Amino acid sequence: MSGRAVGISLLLFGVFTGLLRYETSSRAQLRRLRSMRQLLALMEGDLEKSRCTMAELLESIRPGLRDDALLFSVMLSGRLDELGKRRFFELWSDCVTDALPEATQEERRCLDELGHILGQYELETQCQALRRSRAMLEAWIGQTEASLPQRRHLALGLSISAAALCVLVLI
Amino acid sequence: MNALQSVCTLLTDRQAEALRKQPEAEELRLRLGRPPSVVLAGRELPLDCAAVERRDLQRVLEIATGASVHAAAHAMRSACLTYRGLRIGVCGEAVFSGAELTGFRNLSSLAIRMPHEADQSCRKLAERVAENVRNTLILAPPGGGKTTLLRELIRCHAERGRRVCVLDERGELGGRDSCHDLGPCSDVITGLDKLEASMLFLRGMNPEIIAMDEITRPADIRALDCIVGCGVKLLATAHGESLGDMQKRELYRQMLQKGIFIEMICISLREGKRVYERVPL
Repeated sequence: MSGRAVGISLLLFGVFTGLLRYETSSRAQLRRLRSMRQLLALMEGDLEKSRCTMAELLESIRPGLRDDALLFSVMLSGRLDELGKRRFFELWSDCVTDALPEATQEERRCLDELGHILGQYELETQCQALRRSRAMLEAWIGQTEASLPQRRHLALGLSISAAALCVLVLI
Repeated sequence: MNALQSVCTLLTDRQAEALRKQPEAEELRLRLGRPPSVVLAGRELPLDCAAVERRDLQRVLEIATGASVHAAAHAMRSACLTYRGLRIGVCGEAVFSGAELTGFRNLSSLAIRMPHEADQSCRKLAERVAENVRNTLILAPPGGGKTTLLRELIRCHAERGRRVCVLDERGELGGRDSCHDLGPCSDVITGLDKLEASMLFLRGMNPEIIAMDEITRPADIRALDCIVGCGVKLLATAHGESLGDMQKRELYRQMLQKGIFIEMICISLREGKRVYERVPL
């Protein structure tokens, strides 16, 4: 009886730990998505307003950036010197890989597609692409935010059950 | 880095290799679906390489603008942009935001003008012209060598210790990262229109001579008026083949009537060679 209860409580504890890790990664994803959304919003605003070069643009929006997006912009600025030897979308894609290693396949595809448009098309097309990518990030942020409380409740329930079973076994 | 090397940085390896076999080329033309071609002594010759693809055109624009095509819209409005002293003409579908041209999409062709060092006759002429300081107009059709002679004149005057202020609206005379040496006493403003830049020079730089490329708009004539009215000498260029051509165009007719220029240098192409003719006005 007690052996079975220990097994169940260990199982519940394992699920709880898994959910906790999943929640931690979801929070990291949320931070990443929010910071990249901020980057795209600032880029769009600056493109329309100042019409400065990509290097100047990255420099000017940097104070408004944080987390992964800040790292991404620093990396991209540093790599712009390679233009001519490599295409802009290659530099952009490398920065997505290096600055956002935890990004999902979908996120990476979305950002890579944006890199193909930025820098080489006229203003309106670039702004449209930025808006499109930002809308996708928004949708993922919404989904992740919505799933977080459910997972939190589930993790809480499981941990209470595991704790109750442990107490029973100990008594 | 010379002009040929600068152009090669814009091209694919295969295109650059083919272009290097034509070091005398004056212009490179990239047209969608056709092999690149070069202009040599006024004639166009195809290069031995594959047809140009849209991504080749986009690559050129991306590199020339530092991945900032949107920032080059102003240059495109004036029909061309510049990169390391090269002039790049762009054709494609114009895109507007309201009434403002914001760039081109579906690029169809590019013309990359490759500035050359002045030849012997151009240098000699510039040396002779620079013996005196007077208002001089250089006249030639597009691609005729006006800018090359103007650059040479600026350098000759500047080497004689005269303060030459250069209005380099598009950055192709000697501004930005251009490879051209305009002499020790030259000062360059890039990116401003002629009238505004003239006022800046007159107020702040105490010029003896002001040089400008391509008089094409009424505002340019106003800039000329300001300059000559202040006792500063002028070097300028205009499109045309002869004095007769100038008389046909209202803008140039006005300029001639004002008697701004004392001398005109007409450049023409005869049997593949440039011929310079000095015409008193």
